[in-house]
Amino acid sequence: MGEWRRVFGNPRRLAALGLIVLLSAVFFVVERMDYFGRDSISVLLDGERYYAGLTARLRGQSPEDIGQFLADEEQLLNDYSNYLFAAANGVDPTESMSASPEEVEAAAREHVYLSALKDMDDAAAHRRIDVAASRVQELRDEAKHIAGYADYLDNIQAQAERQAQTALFGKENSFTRRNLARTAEEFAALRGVKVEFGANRAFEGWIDYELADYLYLLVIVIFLFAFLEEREAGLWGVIRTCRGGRLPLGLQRAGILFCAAVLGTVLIYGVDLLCSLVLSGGWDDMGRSAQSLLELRTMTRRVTIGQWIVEYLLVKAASGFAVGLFLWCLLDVIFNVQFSLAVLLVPVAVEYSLFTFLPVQSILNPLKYINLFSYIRTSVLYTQYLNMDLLGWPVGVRQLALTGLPVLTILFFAWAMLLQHRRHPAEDRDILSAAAGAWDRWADRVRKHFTAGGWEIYKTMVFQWGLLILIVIFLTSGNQNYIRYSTGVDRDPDYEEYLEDIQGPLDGSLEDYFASARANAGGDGKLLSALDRVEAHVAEVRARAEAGGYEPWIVASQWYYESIYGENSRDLQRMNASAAIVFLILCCSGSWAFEQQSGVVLMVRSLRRGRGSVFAGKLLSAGLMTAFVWAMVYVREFLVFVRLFRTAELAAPVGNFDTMAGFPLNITMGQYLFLLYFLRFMMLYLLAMVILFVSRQVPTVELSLIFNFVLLGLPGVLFALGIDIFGFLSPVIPVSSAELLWGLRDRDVSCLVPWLIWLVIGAAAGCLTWRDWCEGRRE
Amino acid sequence: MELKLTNVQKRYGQLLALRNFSVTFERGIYGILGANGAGKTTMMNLITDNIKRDGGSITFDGREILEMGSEFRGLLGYMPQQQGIYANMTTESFVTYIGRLKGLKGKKLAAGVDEVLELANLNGMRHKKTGLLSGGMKQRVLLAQALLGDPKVLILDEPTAGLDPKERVRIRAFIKELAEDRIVLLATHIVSDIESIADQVMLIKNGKLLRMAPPDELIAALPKDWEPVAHHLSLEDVYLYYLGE
Repeated sequence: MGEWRRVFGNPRRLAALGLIVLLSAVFFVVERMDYFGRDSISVLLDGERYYAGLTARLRGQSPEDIGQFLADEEQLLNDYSNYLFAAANGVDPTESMSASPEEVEAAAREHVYLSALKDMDDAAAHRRIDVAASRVQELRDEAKHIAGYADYLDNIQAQAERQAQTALFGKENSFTRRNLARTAEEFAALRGVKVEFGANRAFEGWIDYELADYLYLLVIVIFLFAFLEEREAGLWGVIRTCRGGRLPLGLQRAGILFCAAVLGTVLIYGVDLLCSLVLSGGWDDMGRSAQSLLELRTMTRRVTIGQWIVEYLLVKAASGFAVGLFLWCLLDVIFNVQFSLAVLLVPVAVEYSLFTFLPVQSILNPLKYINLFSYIRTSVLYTQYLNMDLLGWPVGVRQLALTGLPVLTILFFAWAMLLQHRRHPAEDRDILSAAAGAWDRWADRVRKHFTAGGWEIYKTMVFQWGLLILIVIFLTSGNQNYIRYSTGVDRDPDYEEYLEDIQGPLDGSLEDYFASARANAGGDGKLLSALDRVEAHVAEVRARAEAGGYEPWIVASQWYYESIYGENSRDLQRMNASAAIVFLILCCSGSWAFEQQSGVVLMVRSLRRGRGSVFAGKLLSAGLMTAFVWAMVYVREFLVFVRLFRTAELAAPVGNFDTMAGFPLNITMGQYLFLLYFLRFMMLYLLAMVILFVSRQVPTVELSLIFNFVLLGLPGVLFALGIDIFGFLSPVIPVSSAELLWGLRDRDVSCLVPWLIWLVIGAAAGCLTWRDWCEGRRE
Repeated sequence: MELKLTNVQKRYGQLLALRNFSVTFERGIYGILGANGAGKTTMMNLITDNIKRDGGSITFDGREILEMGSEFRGLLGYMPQQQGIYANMTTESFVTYIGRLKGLKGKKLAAGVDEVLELANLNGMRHKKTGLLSGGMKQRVLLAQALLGDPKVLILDEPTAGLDPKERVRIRAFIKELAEDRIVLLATHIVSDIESIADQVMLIKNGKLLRMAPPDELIAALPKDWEPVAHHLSLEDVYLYYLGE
């Protein structure tokens, strides 16, 4: 039992497992959110309660009745949204509503979900209506699926018969013809299967949740790395000389790997499913046929949802075991554990590329489906019906993968046991070491020209995985959202068109323009009303500019500015700032901790340039990382902005923007944005100083990441998700900076406080780290 | 050239690691002997300014080393006891990196790296990652970096630990050669290393300097009735006599 206890009793491994399960559940819930922002959790819960209420009410009804009810519900949501907008903006709602305001108000009062919205502010109520509309749409799709499933099956048969008679679909013995016949035959078995309405959201969200598959893989890898620990500790030879150190140990480890696969399946997928059922309901819907789920409509076996879940979890555990055995074999081939990550990453990347990029019907498609990722993204086997061309015969990809699973498991198991038995640790015939040696011979020619600062950057990028982290950030930060269009803004196209005509500096009289525009408008009341508004706006801009002492300017595309930098986008600004903070933690946490972990501090500090120069190198490296994170998060935002906004208007004095009217500095919008982006960079760099300070206090990179994340990252994320108390503890607001600049419009000097606090914290952290490294003597 | 410690005091909490420790080093090799925790490494850390002293002064040619700062560190070559090394760097990269931090550059750096790698017999391992080297080889890499840049004060903490006898003899001879125009402080538990090359042997016990004298004098000063460990009296007997309890 020693090996079992060593692997399963390791607190760090268990903590990592717990953290992965927690992350999986958290991201699962986050993925269910339609909206990210201050009240995102309550919006989600309200929406899920609404969904559960609707499914409970509609369960057992005919598809037609369900469809009708949902159409009415959708209309009511739409009417109530228009009603609220009209009430908030003082406009006439009758044009955009299907019933009178009184009727809509009365219906909303009786409605369980809508009645709760009347005490909320306009934006919060609209968010909830949007979410409800999205849930209704899901249920309408489901109702359509239920109503049309029999026709769908008939269509497959009819299509097969029709195509079989067409020469275009090949000869009698061709793959195409056989495929048609097989498809028809398999789907024929589903005829008469009873599809029923129910709470599908819980199951479909769970099936679609891709991240769980990769986190599950991570669990397997964590347990595999436990098998390499003796190599890292230099004990490989010792273990192998023990009586039970070869095959018996290999068998024990295979057992451990199997248990890890089962444990990972139960904890990750089980917890996610539990979260899903708690959120959306569906406990009573597991007795329905699996085909009742839209995602499983192409599954050609008659099972209930509950049976399918059990089968799916068993396949998951078996797949995890097989994948684990395969990766274990790969890891066992290497002698040098330094290459273990590369050994895993390269084949996994190749398999992922084949799985993702090979076309569905390709001559190489066995490589796509007999693939590591078929066993990692197992849900694809159930949600896609596909027959593969195997020497002219159609073979179901799911059947092939599932039949192949025990065969592959036995093969990998035998290979793993052979390696366990036959490996000779002292042989040192390692191809990877030889390849790395050849690379290092070449690289040393370049590296010997590095300066001390260059070495610091190299250490950050290569030894601390900085380059890999930057690539990941580059790939993931592209998904960030920067625009929050105002849903409650009535955009008058006539008004906007007139503004576009006169946009630019107001350097002359517009009387001729207005006279001609009025003449052209004739008696059109809408156009004349828009012109009145434009004239009033021009007068206001002129008056404001005169009072402020700057050039008056008509900015036509203010709406885009508001959508990205305005108060409407406050939540997005905070989310993006918290993402930047997390990225920076990943990039900079290794800094000093790496020196401590390498055990070189005494030696480096005793060198002539081992203090100031090394410290300067760390600052330079942190600066580069900060610049990259800043560019990934904020330059992208600016690029989004300039795509929408007329760049000529960057020269407009900032006071001409309606929402920036009180801004105390007489600068242009371009200068304002420069100030905003400069402040963000500065705050991120000061934050990097705090991260470096924490990094200097801990002995390992791992601990530095944990401490920095707990101290800086987590409060930021929690604040961005709407838990206000963390606003005081996190640097999100100063990093975002936008809302602090809004404070200046109202001459509110208290908005300077968060900047000042973090300025002091960052500067103090930088000074303390400098003192500690350059002057301190505590090693 | 003179490195002088005067009334140096260092305390770790309640433990007084060095008490009023005074010693003067001039050109030559100083073998430092003491049991674990005697204060050898503390003394070295004070000279390299890696720990804060609680009292006393350390001067080099009459100037306080803390005031000299990087000027003094530029004269130092330090090989710590702990085998701290960047495991991902190759031997050549590691020594070159340390050379940069010693302020060397260009041809001087390249020539220096070649020289110390040759001296440490590491030419065959130039492009091998230091993390893949055996303990003895890592020891040689650390010695090589200490020798780089022609340091005037060489502080070697267990330099021959983990080396095979042939390598130890080679390194010893080399250190002896080096000592002609510099101060070499050599702490080790391998008493025979010190016996054969040290000009002076320091005996440290409980943070105090017990004795400092050439090895022969220390051996000669042993009591007449002392039973030698081997066939004849050696520095091991001195160690056991003074520090053996």
